[in-house]
Amino acid sequence: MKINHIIKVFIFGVLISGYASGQVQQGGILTYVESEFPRAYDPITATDDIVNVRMTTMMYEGLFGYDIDREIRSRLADSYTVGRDNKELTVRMKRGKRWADGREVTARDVAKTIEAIWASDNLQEQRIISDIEEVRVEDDYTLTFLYQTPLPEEVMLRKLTFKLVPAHKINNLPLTRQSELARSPVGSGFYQMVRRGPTDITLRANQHFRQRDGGNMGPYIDEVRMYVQTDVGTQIEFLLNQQVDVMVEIPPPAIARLRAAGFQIKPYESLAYHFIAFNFNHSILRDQKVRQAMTYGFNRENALDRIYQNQGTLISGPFPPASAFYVRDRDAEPFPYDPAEAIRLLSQAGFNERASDGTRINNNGDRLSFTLVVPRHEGDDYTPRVTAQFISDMRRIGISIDLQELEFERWIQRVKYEHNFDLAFAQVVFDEAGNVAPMFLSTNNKPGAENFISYNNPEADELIKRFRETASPSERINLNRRLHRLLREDCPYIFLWSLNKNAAANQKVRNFMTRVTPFSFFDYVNEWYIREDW
Amino acid sequence: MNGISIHIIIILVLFLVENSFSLQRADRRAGYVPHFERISQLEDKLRTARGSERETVLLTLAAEHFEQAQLYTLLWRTTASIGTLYYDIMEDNDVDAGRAAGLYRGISYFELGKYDNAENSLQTFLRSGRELSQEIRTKGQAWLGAAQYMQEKEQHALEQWNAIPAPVRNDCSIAAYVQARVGYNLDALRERCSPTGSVDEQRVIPMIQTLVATGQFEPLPALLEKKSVEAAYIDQKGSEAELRYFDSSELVTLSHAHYALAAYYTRDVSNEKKKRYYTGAFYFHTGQYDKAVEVLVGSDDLASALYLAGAYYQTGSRTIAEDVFQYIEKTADKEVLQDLQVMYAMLAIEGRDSNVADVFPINMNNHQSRSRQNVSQDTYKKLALVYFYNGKYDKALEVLGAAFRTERRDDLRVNDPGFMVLYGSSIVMAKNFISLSEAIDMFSTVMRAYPHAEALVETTSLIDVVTNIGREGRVIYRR
Repeated sequence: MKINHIIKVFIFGVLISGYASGQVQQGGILTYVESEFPRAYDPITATDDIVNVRMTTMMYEGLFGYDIDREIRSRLADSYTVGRDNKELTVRMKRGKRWADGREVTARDVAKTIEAIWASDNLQEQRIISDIEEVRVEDDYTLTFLYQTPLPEEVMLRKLTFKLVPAHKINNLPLTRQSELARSPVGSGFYQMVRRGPTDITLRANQHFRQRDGGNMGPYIDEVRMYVQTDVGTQIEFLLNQQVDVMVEIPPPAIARLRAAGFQIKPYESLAYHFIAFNFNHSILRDQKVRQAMTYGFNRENALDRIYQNQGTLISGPFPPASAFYVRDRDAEPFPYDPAEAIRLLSQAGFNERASDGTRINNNGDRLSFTLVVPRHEGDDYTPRVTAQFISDMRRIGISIDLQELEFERWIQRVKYEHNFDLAFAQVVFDEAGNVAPMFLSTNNKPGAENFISYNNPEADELIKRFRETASPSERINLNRRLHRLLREDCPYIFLWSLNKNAAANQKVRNFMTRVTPFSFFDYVNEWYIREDW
Repeated sequence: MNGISIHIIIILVLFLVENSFSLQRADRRAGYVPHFERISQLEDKLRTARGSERETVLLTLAAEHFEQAQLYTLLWRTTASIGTLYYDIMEDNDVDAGRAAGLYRGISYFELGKYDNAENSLQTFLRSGRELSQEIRTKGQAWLGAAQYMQEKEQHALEQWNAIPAPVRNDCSIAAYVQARVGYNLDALRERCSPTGSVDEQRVIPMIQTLVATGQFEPLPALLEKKSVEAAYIDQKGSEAELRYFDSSELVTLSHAHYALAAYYTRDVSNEKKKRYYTGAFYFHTGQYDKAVEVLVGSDDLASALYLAGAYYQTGSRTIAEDVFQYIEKTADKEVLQDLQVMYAMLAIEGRDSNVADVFPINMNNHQSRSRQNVSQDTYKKLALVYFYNGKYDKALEVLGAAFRTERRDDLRVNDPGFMVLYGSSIVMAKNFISLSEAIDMFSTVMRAYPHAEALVETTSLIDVVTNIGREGRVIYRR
């Protein structure tokens, strides 16, 4: 056994600027605005909801987490020991850590959380812990994890970054969005939920969270309030009128106005993009020529310019431009708008004739007619304009599109779980790891999994497999760039654009500019503070 | 001199020193035009220009080369800095950086003036016992000799250089290149690297460096054009191509060549001040501080005086440097004094191994507290550069963040290439790893106009991957 792997002590370097200037203030209220309520308040049943991710980040924590340097750090864990064959990990938990209701956090909570993840339909978290074969509770504060295969120490720890839920609040499995925990969260993180009003949610600093607790500081801000306002224009007015302090994503046209009004503007990520996915269960859409034709036939440059004022970048494949794996070579640029090439490809695919309504048909009478499912959201002016142009451009090359706008939850059900669509429009957001593999790995096509298009390309599978097996950074880059090129050519999606993202905050919110994470946004909210005298 | 004329001079000086010769504003409005394209247009124009028009074209060409040189300076410094960080991270994570890692680590240290580190790294590389190609081994020997030569271990250096196989040793190749860089045996190099006939790819950079070191500037435009064309097609390499490593030396050479051409094009102009300024700046930026002093001494314009102060500082005559700067302070308008302080600090700190911010107590806080409306983005950039060179990356980020124009962040007309390079590099060097995607984004934007920024994209991408290894990653679909 390797012994005594004492977890690195967290250095409070991240706070140096605040402490050094002596300006850090305890207390105050932080307000922010979202377009909707989270679909649940626990970290298991709704992690495909970005509002949920942002909120649960403030309320829950795992055995391990990441610091701002992406180093793995202890949260609820105190120390660990790696077994000799790197298939076993014994974790000793901190004593005295408490849930927001005062009960102590113990090893049983860890085991119960893993059980809850496996019982849930959260395939993403299941994928992350899938290497853990068995969990043994040795005593109240000690667990042993047995892994299926030998893993590097760092990877073993990274598997334990899932957020814990309290065993005593789980009466039945599976957890659902109707479960008590999903409605009345009890976490061990920085904040606990104390109020849910018709248009707002209030979190208060978790009184049981120990300040400056080995690697994880308590928050400076006493209270966080989330307001819900569906209309983006009204959200901006809230910000300007100081009704809220932070807006997590501001539309590009508002940047200049907010900057002029003295707000902090933080560009915080580009690891997201819009796409139109093809369902490979549809026999016509399995034809690469048809998919390529539709990509050539959609004037994306025009849409980006006209609808988003060019505040973004056209993309050529599955990795967003800010990813290390994006291919910048001249021969791997986004497909240009070329309706003539689109028509040529459709002809090659056998769709030479046109029906009376202009839709192309082949010799079997199959029509190029598809449904496009689009998530609908009140106050979203952009998506309807994008789909309108798409439908118009497709009509021009002889493809008929039937638009179906769905509530987002219904969209998720139809697309991710039922696979009941021809074309699906949405946006995908990655965390810093930028892992696109789940979306294109052939074995990951179960209902609820990310490969909802049922993509099956042995060459892509092989590249993904080799990527997982290699530790060489340059080899990893080469493999994923090959994947990018392959998927650019194969067009499982029409890869659209990656929009510039900016958050805005009132000047009184300090440490905001350097402490925003692209994905969960509030990971370092404990380091923010409010200057009431600002 | 009355107050008004001083003010006018200062404005002109700032115009000059801030290298913002706003050539072809109309072109800029239409879209960002990289320097090498503007230079190419001007060289065409020079062939037919006569009289005062010729003088204008020459001065504009000099300004363009000067600006290009400054961008390359920033590129090589940031590439070398991020390169060393990358190898440190690889070591910390027990990841093998590959056979050539020690070589490129050594070169990065050399460029940053850390000759002892360079020597250690190169020696370890050569003794590693790993199978090395003859080309890589020769490169290691040449650079090890250079690191030793700079530490005045001439005998050791010669041993390394003499161990290089004769055909390479006697050709205009890597051995000639490093010798030109350190200023060894220049007369012999002049013959070995004479640009006659067609020049093959391998010889271009050694030849440029030798021409710069021996003061033969006339053939440089043609050679640089060859290099620019090649650079413009870097992105056409195949998917299986090797990743570009961190050899910042080529960027150093290109920066030297552009400083040389700024001096070259003003050789025959009637404007003595500009002639002196560009010549002094060339000597300064190629480390020939004594010659810079020789050229600049007696300058009565503030731009040249700033360089003079910087050159005195670098030669160790710090009292004289401060005297010169006090003269500048007395002469300059208060409105621009802090900008001049920043520029002086920048020049003084460019010398290797200097830590001027501690030596020269410039009041950064005063500078930062000035109203943003009165400070140009370029001034913020210079202030950030001072912090960057001092290793105070968090401070650099703070300054750059205040000046970053987020609404059009991928438009080089709004955030200039140097600003973007510096901002992205500060993110990386501050180890702000959660924001590496922003840095990659910035470098990629610059790369569209300056293909040499690819080295920054690649190195940062590698750091991004190393710090993410083992993460499964989470994906969310949303409206």
